[in-house]
Amino acid sequence: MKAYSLLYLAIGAMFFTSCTKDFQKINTNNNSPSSTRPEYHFTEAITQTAYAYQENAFDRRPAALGRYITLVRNNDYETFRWTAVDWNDIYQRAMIIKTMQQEATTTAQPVYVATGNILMAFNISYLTDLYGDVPYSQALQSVSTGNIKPAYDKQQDIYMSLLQLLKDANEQLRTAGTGIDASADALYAGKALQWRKLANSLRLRLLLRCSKVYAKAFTDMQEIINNSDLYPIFTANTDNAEVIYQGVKKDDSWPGGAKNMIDADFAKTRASKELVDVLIARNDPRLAVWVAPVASTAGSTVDHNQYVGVPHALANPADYNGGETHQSVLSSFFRQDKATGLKASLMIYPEVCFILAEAAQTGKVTIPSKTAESLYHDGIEASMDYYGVKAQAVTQAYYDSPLVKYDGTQKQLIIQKWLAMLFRGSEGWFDFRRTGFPEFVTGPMAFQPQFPVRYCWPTSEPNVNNDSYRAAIAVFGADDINTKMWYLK
Amino acid sequence: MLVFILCAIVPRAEAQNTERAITFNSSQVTLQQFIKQVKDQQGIEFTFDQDVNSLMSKKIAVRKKKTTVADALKWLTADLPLKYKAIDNYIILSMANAGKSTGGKGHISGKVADESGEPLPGATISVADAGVSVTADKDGLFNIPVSAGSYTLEVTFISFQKEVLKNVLVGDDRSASVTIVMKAQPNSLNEVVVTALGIKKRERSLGYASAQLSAKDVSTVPQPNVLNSLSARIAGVNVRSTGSDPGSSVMVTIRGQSSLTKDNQPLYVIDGIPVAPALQNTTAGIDGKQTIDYGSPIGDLSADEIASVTVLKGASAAALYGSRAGYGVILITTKSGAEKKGLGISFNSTTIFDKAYMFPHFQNEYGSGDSPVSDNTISTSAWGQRLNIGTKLVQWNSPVGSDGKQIATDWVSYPNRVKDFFKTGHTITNNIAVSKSGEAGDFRISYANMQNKGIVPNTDIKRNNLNFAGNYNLKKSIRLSTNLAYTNNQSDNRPSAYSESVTSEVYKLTPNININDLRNYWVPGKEGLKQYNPLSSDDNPFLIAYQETNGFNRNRLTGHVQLAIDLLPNLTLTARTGLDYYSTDLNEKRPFSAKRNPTGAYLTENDYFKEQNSDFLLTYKSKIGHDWNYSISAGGNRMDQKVRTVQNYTGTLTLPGIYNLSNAAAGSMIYAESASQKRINSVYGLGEISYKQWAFLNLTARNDWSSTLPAANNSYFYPSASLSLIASDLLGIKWDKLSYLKLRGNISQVGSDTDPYQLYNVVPFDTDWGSVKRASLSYDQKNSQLKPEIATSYETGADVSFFNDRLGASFTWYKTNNKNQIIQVPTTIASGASTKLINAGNIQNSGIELSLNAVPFKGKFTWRTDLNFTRNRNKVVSLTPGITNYLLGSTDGSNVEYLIKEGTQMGDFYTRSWKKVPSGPYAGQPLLNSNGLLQQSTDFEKIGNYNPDFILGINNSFTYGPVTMNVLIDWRKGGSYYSYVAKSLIDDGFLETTLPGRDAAHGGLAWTDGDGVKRNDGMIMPGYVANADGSYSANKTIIAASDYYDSKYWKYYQNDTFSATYVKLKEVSLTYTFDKKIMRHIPFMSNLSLSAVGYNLYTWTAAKMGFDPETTMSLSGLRYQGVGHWTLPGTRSYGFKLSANF
Repeated sequence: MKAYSLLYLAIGAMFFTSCTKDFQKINTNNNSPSSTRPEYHFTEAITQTAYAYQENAFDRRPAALGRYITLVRNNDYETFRWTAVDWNDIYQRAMIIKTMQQEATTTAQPVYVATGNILMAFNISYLTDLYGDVPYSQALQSVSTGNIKPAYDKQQDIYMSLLQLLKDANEQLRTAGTGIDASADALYAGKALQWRKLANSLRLRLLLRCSKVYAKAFTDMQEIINNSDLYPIFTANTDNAEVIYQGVKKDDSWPGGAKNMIDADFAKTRASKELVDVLIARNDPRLAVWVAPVASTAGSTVDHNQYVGVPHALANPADYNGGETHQSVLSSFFRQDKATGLKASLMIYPEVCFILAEAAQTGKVTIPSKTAESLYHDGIEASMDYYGVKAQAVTQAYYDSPLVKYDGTQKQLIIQKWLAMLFRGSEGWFDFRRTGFPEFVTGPMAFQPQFPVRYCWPTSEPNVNNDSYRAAIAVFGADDINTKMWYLK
Repeated sequence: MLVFILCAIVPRAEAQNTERAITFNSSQVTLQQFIKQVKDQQGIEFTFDQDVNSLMSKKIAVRKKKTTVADALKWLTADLPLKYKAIDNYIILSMANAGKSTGGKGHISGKVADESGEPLPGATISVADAGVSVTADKDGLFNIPVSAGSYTLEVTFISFQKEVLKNVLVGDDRSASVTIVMKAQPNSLNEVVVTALGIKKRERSLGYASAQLSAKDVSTVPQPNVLNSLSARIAGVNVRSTGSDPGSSVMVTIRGQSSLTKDNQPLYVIDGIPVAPALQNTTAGIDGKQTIDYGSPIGDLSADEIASVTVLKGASAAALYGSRAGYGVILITTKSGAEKKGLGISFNSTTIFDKAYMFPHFQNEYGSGDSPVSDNTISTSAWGQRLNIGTKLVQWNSPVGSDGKQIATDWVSYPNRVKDFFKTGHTITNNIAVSKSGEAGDFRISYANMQNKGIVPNTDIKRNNLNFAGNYNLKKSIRLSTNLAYTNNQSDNRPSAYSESVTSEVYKLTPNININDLRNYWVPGKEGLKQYNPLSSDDNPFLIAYQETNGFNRNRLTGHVQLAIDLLPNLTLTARTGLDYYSTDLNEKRPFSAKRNPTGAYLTENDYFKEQNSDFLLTYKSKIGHDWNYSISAGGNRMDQKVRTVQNYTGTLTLPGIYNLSNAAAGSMIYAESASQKRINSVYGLGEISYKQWAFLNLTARNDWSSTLPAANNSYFYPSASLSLIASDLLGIKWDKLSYLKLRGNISQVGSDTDPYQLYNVVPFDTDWGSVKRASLSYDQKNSQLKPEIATSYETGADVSFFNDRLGASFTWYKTNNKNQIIQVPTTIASGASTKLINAGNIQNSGIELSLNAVPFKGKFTWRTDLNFTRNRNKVVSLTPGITNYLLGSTDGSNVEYLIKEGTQMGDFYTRSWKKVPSGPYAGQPLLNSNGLLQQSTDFEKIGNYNPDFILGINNSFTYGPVTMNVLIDWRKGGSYYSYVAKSLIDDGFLETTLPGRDAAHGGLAWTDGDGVKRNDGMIMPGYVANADGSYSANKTIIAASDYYDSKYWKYYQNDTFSATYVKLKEVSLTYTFDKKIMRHIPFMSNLSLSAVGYNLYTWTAAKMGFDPETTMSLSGLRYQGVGHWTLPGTRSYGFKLSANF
């Protein structure tokens, strides 16, 4: 029996210990692939970028800072009682784009590298426009080089790099623009020309943004304008870089629809006084599209109009004008999961018109067969068309009304751009901080007398990237909402 | 109680011929004459050894002239050291005690052993009648030569109860053979403790602190989740129920948190088989706000099934369980049939009622509204007009008059609006068990049923347990045993917690709302389509309770089969395989018009878990010489674990009320599936060597091979050594006053692996975009170079007892360093990943555990008291080069951060404070902005730590005749928590603390607001404002009370942070056991007792905010606990229990 027991023991020990050869198989994750096709990431990058950008624009700080809306409860956004804002989603998208480009290189599909550069430039420019200096040249290297503490780059350097990236993308797509999967391309269904238009239009946006400090801004613009074959830009709303809403799931539905916003949150979002007053003063046909009339004018205390915008940063905004039934919420147009006329926009044609109009107004750029006034008119008209009121604007003689008729001022131009850019990115706020128009007021309960000009870097940065964060402060200035970034100085 | 098994006098076999008569003529004869006469008279031949020749001239007294040969032979053995054997016609004589001539004529021989059959060498056996005292040898054997007669034996041994054997009869030349089973004194060193791998050891041999709970401890006040019974009973163990509902998860932390990334929960082992992790993360409901706790799988156990619970606290105790034992092990032994001889039937029935009683202190003086000067009463906050002063206002439910306008109604408060919502919950538990034990083996079959209705309407749990335990002895040397348990645990609806849960919606009803008006939660005529609620921003709490249900159904099978073979008398082989398998179905329903799901939602999830452990252990026991004992064991284990989850979800139903996935709107389905598996192979060895039963050295070693680590690093070895010295025996102290003194110490390591699939990144799919596939990324960067974690621990302590165990103490000091932890270091997402998996860190926990027990009264009235004191100190010794800060987690956006820095403690939390005056006479005072409000500073300040300074458990037991009363008190001192609930309720003016300043009567200042309205609710924020010239002056700006509280509490989280100190009357029971005399008159029944029981009867909190610090803290972040969230109110539970044995 003793001999047997030793045998059993030996067999047992072998059974228990010798089998590490299955370990690799056991520890292989079969839930997801280890790499995938670039087009899967392409759709992901496009849709996530567009939806997040649009969501920001509609119900986050950009909407309140662009003074399109007034919140009658939890109005910290517009009273500037802010804490830092995280940038996770932007870098996550950037990493998806980078991964897509690597896969595209591996599978020899350079068209995704080029389109990826446009998406990358779009995301990173939004990032630096919000924060100023941000990690860029050393960013996204945790996987490749193990650098988990990327240094912050100066905004100026980032801008130069992004402008080049867009220029290169245009060139790459010009020479090798085939092979974009039409169904995966949620923006342009595989049309490379459209992507080139976006790249060049984006360059215009960036150039105007930094035109105050970047000497070559207008000459670069001029180069684009002069070579429409080489540098095609948006020429109609059909060029708009927009992603449709499926309206089926929460994450593919319009941010103001019932799937994403509860009734109370939609109800607390009022049209701002600035917006309503500007629209009323111009008898603007877009007013009725965007804003709902008040439930009752009887009992209104200070504003007896059918449409009543609420001023910002009041002590008791819900009591304004006699209470909430005498204030305008946004129209039901914005209360749909999948609405005709509502898409997630990266960039639209009216913006290009206004960019060119402003450039022409400075006299530093000339546009063939166009003037500042005609471009101004084109921008308004394209916007009216966008909202389906193009004909109505003509009937109402909108363009001839005293406040609309072109007067050559930047103020008038920016006000029209502001209207056309309603809920488009952060453009309303960005133009205001760049030009001072429209002349927003801070409101009595504002935490500080001046408008913030940036977001504070994320709260986590001092914890996870402290050395770079401190170094960035030394170069950029205090991590404060009032510190001006390079192109605003 | 005196226990002895056998006291037998064995008569020698006698042949028929010795019954023949014989006659002696003289009063004494020599041996030679004796032999001659017997031979002459009866013809019986004698044969004898040569030694006997020396006795030939020795004399034998003749007791009786006429007698039988047999009787005469007895004289021979009585008077001379001889023994005889009669065979046929021969009588063989031999020396009775070769070499030993004591003059004794008989013997008492026997064996002393403990209850487990282990011999007790060194036990003292005294025979007072003979004036003899001997000690048992290394095998527990003894032999005392005595004259024939009746003796009383007293057997004593340190820490055992004295055994007295009366009437031990010793005949002439006879041996009285006795076996003495000594019963350990309560709390004594000889208690048999279940240790790692189910090995039973005597307490005295353990070099580490051990703690054991008996069946009584866990079942007298049977808690639905049996882990709650550990609370306050064991030093070093921090037990926290995460909710007041009986189905809530229970979190157990042994000797502090040491892991940055794991849940720090101990390994649970039931009857030798490791089972599923006890904690599951709470699940975010489909609306993304409510969170549902589906309970710890360990809660599937029924308290009445438990025979004992052993807590292995230190790494040394747990080292043999390997990787998963780093945070301690809880060994649960279930009842078996062997406990009772013959047939046994037992029945237990318990009914417990739960009543919510601990609520935040709500104010009832002001109603809904944003300001006291506004007529708007439709607001989520309670800053509105004064209630109960005879005014009428148009309110949320004011009827519409004939003119189409709403009619103002009485503006009054409903102080019972919260209480009225919660019901009295109840839990009924019944358990019946049948057991039978005999020569061939034993078995036990039991069935338990638990039915609960929660304090939230329409919540429940139903649990059924069926257990079978059997032992069968194929041969004496081959034993087969098994234990099989099937459990079904099911609920149609679990209460939710956190934002937008029932609790949050009830607490946030403004005081002017009568909750009874909300009971019909559908708008009449729109049943199933549109809910009836006062504010569109919140769901009707009754809608949540009755329609937003979260159900689960878990079927679970646990069991093992074990074979033990005695290959040789000293060599035993045990082989075992065990399984824990369960499958849980979850379903969550949301009706149409639910705030987050206007068109309903439905989710189903199936979680499958299987873990199989197969192991063997070969044990050899022997001794060297007289004083040394040793045992060596070697064994191996294979662990296979498989987990799979499938989830299907739609956020849009096409038809209301049809909860079926096929009712999902086209394209709206979201699918998720994941599976993982892992294997650990192990070999281990352990050895014990002991000297004279007072010095014990235990050594263990284990090597694991884990599938989760890279091939180069997947094998890791770790040893442990522990020493126990019974100093009182060593020094020969046998005072009455000092019963025993034991010293112990150990040093050990435990290695640990990680979760499956941590080596390489994969690309997860995202949801489909229309009909197009999307692939996302994982931002947690994996690491293919991981190494195993190693925790090293040191422990030393002493156990001492005085006055025959009337007073005892146990002290332990420990230190554990958990190094090389596999942690996800947060990185800036700018690097493309938000975490990176690395080996890093050195987290140290050190602490003391002190237990005191005393029996101040003993006798008819007995009072027994136990104190357990636990104090753990955590220190982050180092993280990793280049990373000195580690974000454990954050809450409330990122505004409260659980941050780890080198040199600090885990559990610290930080927030941004307000700006302060930098210099001058007011330096340090709040620096306010021009509106007289606090301003946030950018730097983070530490505002608290969630760990308690100490935990003290006090357990008292009073017995008077048939009545026993137990009182258990749990005191936790120190620690703090940030309350999200307080922040919300204060900001919206719901709490009594927001009354000051609301009107002149409450100290409000007169002022005129921005709209020119004169008001009396002015307040001034204490602080200073900067003047244009750089100086500072006191703030004089009057602001509305609502703005004051908003400014002070909404963004300044330290003002919402409270002390977590509490004292809880944890358990009380009063038991009446019916007297045996009465029981004799009741047929079939052998035992009957009735108890009145209660738990959590009263809680005192230092914060006095009406939150129970134990249950208010969230479970969402297992690693950071200091967040008070919307959990159910504190409850007290009381009821009764009936126990009967047949």
